[in-house]
Amino acid sequence: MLPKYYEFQNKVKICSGASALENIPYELRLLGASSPLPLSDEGLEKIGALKTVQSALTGVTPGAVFTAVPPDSSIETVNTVADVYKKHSCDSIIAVGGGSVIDTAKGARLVLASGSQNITELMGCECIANINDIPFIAVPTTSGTGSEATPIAVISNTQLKIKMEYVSSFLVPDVAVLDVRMTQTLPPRITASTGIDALCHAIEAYSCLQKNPVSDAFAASAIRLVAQNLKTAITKPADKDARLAMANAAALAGVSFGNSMVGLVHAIGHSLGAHCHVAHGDAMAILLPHVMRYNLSSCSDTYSELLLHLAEPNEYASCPAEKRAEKAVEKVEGLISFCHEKANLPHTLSETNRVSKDDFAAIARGAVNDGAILVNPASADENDIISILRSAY
Amino acid sequence: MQFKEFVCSAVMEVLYRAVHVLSSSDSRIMKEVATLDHGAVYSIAASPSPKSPRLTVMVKDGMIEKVKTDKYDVEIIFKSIPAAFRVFTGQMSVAGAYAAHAFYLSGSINAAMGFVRIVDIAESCLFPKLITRRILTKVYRREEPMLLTYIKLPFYGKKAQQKG
Repeated sequence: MLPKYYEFQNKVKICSGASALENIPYELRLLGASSPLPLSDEGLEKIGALKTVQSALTGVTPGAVFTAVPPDSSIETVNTVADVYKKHSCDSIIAVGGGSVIDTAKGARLVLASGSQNITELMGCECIANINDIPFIAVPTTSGTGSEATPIAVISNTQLKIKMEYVSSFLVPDVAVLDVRMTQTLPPRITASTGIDALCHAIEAYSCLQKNPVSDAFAASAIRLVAQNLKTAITKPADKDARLAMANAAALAGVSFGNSMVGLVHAIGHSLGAHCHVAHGDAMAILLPHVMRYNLSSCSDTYSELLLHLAEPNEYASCPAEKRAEKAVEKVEGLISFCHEKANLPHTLSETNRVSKDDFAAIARGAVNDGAILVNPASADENDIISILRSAY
Repeated sequence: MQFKEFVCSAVMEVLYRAVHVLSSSDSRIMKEVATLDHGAVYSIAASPSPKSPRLTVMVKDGMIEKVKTDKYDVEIIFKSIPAAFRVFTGQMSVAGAYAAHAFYLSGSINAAMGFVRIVDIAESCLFPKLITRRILTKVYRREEPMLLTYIKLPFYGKKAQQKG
């Protein structure tokens, strides 16, 4: 059924597959840029991922290179990157990294394009208007966050100890470059964790209140790609087809949830990260089945449809209609159990060794104040969330 | 359009009075107001037009008080009068309006969430269940009869004055 009103927007050009990195100079030319600022972190510089990208920049001379992005993007880093960009007269940004690097690039682009001295002023949802664009290419090195295709950035305010959320179409990169050379060395643990993150983005996007036919199409494709390729990417890390499929799954899920948003799994997951420093992908893997069971009665039709994308066509056809939603949850549980067995992904909160039952009240309070909860198909208050945390413990 | 603007303006006033009254009688609203930052200013406008109906309130001593200022911590602006009209006449919840991109928000999304819950609770107290069941993912149980809340609205300032 069509929503009474919906919006869908995504301008990102996806360059996926063999030699995608080598097309960056051409894409820069199309964007009218010639002096990019490659942005990355020290870890990626050390393992040579950044060098692989730089080697592909034939005929392009970067204005500068910045590799000091910390694991959590912060205002200070955003401002430093903006200063480096201005000092070296760069005309574009190439972010090579995971969510933190890409979010830092988004923040710096926002500061530079808006001319704002204080990025805190721009915090909000769909409130940024009339800013100049700065060419921006994202090269993700994990297959999970989907940040290369979303209008969302999260930047830490270390002084106020809050994570500032920005939602604006101006944050969507111009180009997302998906090349398996960036992800083929990811260890199974990270492959599993980020892969489940992508699955969670797609499932929440497909089932939340802001869903629409276009975002559904992207989410469904992402779910199918994860269901068909995550196990191979974990057990056969050198399998390029599986790696590329997972990179696509993450980007497609990003396009989807960038338009329809996420839900309760992310609301609780963000709070778990903030209060107990549980890694985002781990939190998603632990919470997803529990939240799906919580939501089951509110969106059983939608979950029934999910089975079509999570299972083989025969399996879907042979499952009675009234059991498909439950079966879809079981499929997700099965995939997460596989990740637990083969990649040591935690599947309970206690396994993370970071969460105590005494933290539940604070986590629940944080979760009800997370914007993602607004569009969850079932309402959840603090007591509901504490019940979910107990069952996930 | 003028009629819809007038309705938005009138409902904003009713909603403000209801929140004001309920912030000293409804335990859930009292709890939510207590968690909002003291001195925080929230503003809702029915459209981006500077002349549009607008409600600006400040959190003060555990109450929500109307204020006149153009400096807001959180500002919610509906993209059009018809969108605001749907929300203010109980045809659409705040969450529904968010899902339909009916408004934009400046400021911290986290800080806005408590305010949104307060509006949801107030709507549960003001609108009949026939409406709230349709628009809210959760209908809050009324702690006092709906009629009593409406009776209190014309005297909305008394409690706060007594408190002061």
